[in-house]
Amino acid sequence: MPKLKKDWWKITGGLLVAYSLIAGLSIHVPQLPIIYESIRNLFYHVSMWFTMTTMMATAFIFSIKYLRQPLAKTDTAAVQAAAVGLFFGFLGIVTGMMWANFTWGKPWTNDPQLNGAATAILVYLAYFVLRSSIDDQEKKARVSAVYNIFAFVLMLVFIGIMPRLAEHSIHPGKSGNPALGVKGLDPTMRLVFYPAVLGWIMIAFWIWKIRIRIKTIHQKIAEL
Amino acid sequence: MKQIYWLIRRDILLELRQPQVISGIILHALGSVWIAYLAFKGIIPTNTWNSLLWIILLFSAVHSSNRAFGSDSGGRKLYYYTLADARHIILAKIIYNILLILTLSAITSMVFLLFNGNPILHPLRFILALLLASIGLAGILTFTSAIASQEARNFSLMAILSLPLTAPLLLLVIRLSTSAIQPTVASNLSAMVLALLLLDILCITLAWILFPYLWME
Repeated sequence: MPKLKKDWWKITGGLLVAYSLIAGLSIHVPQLPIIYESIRNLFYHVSMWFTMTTMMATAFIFSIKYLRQPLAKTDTAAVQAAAVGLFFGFLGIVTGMMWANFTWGKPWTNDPQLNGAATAILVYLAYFVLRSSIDDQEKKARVSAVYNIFAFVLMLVFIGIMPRLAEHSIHPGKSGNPALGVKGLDPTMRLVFYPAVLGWIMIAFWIWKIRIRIKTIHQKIAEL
Repeated sequence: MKQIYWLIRRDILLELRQPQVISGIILHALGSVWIAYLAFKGIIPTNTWNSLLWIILLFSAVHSSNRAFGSDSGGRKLYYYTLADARHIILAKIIYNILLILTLSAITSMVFLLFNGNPILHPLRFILALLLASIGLAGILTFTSAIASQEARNFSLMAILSLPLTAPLLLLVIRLSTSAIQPTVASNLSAMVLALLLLDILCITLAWILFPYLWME
């Protein structure tokens, strides 16, 4: 039995995602030209990016923690957060491409936000290449933490500031937060959108916790 | 300050003592320009001209700053570690790399202009783009070179680590240099220059903060 006091957020996350999946497909949405029913993808596509950013920020925080106090536990937490973030980044790109194919006629366009997202994914892939190419555990943890901090700050610039400087972008949500074009969002859609974001972030943290536990067990087995 | 000066001086002296290395790098850049000239048969539309030049400059910068930390042996690194402050070392290396990349890109651009035509209308903007790009690239590339030098087989690692990180800088620089070759007046020129300047400062500050963690062994 799950302990309610400890695991309430896992249950809430599951319920919120389930709710957003069902409500996202069944509520009444405004019929906008070009987008039409595909606007429902907002619930799924945008929440992927929110989740990715949250996980990358978690990885960033744990990397700083590691440099302040080098513990193998902190390093594992940072890497697993980056891994989960990368996974949600891929999901974000795939859902975005499906949406773009419907509304813009092709899966990829040369747009600052899309380029920023793809670059972020390249950077985190590079992070994992870096980790796999250093053998010494302590050095691997330290060097990759340093790279993660450097990369995350530059990526914040790329994803957070560059799209606003861009001269033209067809991706919505340009003014204000690039991922959050909710100023013009219909109130009933917000009822699904916010729970979806929250639910997915909770699920991501859950995956992260499980991955840390698996990794810790693997390390313990390796030590035996 | 004095320590930084001596560290830069040491790098320059070492470079001048091995002229074959720096001439090799210049030759590499010139070779890329020549290949570009042959591939495009000398007729290049201005947009392509711009992108091509910056790609060549980026790759020669990656190539040249790969040696920032790669060229020193382990024992010599330890010797510097006992002599100098880590923050002074990274600052000296970055300043040295700024000079190196700036010189290299000035030579490359001149040869590129010679072969592929000169569409530049506002030379000042173009020079500004070169300068700001050199500073930012030196910051990012020196730092990634320090990371990659932690691992023995490091050339491809250096490229993998640095290329995606240079993307924001490169995009801004290309936009600034586009405004130098297009007759239409760019609307947000000052915003672009400011953004580039801030990005340069950010890269160097990050390298300055994080380098001591790499240096301790």
